[in-house]
Amino acid sequence: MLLECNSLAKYYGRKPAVRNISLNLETGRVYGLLGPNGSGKTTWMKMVSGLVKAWKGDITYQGHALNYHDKAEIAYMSTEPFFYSFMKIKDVGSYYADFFADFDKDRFYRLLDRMELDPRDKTRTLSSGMAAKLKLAATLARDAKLYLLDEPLNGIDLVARDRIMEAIVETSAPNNTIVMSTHLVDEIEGTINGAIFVKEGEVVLAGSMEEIRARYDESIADLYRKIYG
Amino acid sequence: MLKLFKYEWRKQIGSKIIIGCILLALCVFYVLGTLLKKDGWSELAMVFLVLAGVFASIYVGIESLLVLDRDVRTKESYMLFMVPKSAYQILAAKILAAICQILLTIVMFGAAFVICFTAYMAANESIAEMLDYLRQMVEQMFEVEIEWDMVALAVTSMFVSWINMIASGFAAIIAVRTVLSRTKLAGLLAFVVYLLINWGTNLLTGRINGLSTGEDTWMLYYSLGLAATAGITVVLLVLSGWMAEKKLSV
Repeated sequence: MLLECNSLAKYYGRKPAVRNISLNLETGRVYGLLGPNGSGKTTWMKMVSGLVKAWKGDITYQGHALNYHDKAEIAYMSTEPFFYSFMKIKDVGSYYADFFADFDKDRFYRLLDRMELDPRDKTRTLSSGMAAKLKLAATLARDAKLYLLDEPLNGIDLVARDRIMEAIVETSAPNNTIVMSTHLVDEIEGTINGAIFVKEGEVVLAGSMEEIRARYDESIADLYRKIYG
Repeated sequence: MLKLFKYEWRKQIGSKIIIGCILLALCVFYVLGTLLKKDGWSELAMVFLVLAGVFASIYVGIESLLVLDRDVRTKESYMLFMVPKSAYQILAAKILAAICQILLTIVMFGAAFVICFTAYMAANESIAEMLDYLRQMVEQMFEVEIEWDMVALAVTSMFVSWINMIASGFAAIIAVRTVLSRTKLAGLLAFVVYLLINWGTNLLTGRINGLSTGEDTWMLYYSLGLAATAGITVVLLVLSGWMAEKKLSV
């Protein structure tokens, strides 16, 4: 098991962001983390990537309690742009290369080229769509064991979405795990082989696509409508 | 940690470039005024140099706190806290960058002073006369004879106090962002906590200074205060690191 979360909870004041999430992630899978806005997807991802501290519960990564060393193997991409405003696109590559041994600068530049981004552009001048592509290029240029992609298709036009899904599929390998959070279920249904449905800070359904299809005999999109409709 | 330091340095270098450019312009103005015997120019440049010194020392003192606040408050925090480094390493890099920025500012002002002083000497008196004049001026101002070990202790105390101020600010910002991360008044609360930490520090150093008897030398008296401030600074930094490592959510 790559990652085990046990009874995770996080409150902001009295407001629960995550009430009680227990789930396991296996290596070699691409998971869709599904749920509407405010269901706790982002907070869970931030907890696993070490940005948010759990109020309760524990996270076990490859058999040990999650710690800051594990960030070397976990690639998190937030839904919002987060690059330093003084940086150019090429500086983002240098930053990742400085801190992540698994970062492949050549792949980064190939991804930039594919996403039609100019390395000389300043990050603060990028449109939201361009910033989203840059986040993805930087994250997918790592050879991480666990990728956490928070709404990777947010703010991306239809044509670029195909390129992004291609890049994600290329990154998927038997020795890594990808978790994509989204509410655009139709867009990722053909790519994922595991699904986690989150509602009001709790996991309501999780499993491999084969298990879910065998049990419910419905598409993920139909299940999504049934759970959240 | 050097890589963390590199980016912390870059976050703050912009203001130093601006300070450097202002100092250079004022030095050129002063030198021209001195060499061309335009006293008005030199006097104006000196007034602005002093003003620049006051504003720069205040701004450089708090800049590392403003950067830390931004680093825990905005989305840029992900850049810093997603890297496989402990919160202790991150804070150490920030402190190191703050110290180096302070030293750089001191060096820039020192260089400006040397340039202006040299220009004055070239236009007016000999170096020996000028040094003598400076010594007399300081002795008259403070009504003391200069003792170099006291100067060294005073400079060290000032330096440690400055670092203590930064460590207090770090502790206040991290404590408030840890406990009240979503409060709009977090900035104001951090300032209040900062004042409380400073009050506690002064109280503690005062008590420790009180341990020395009237028969002790002034050196022992001030050294006790210096050691107490340094000790409190270390405690504040370790506490900040612990809070950031265990409790801080960004």
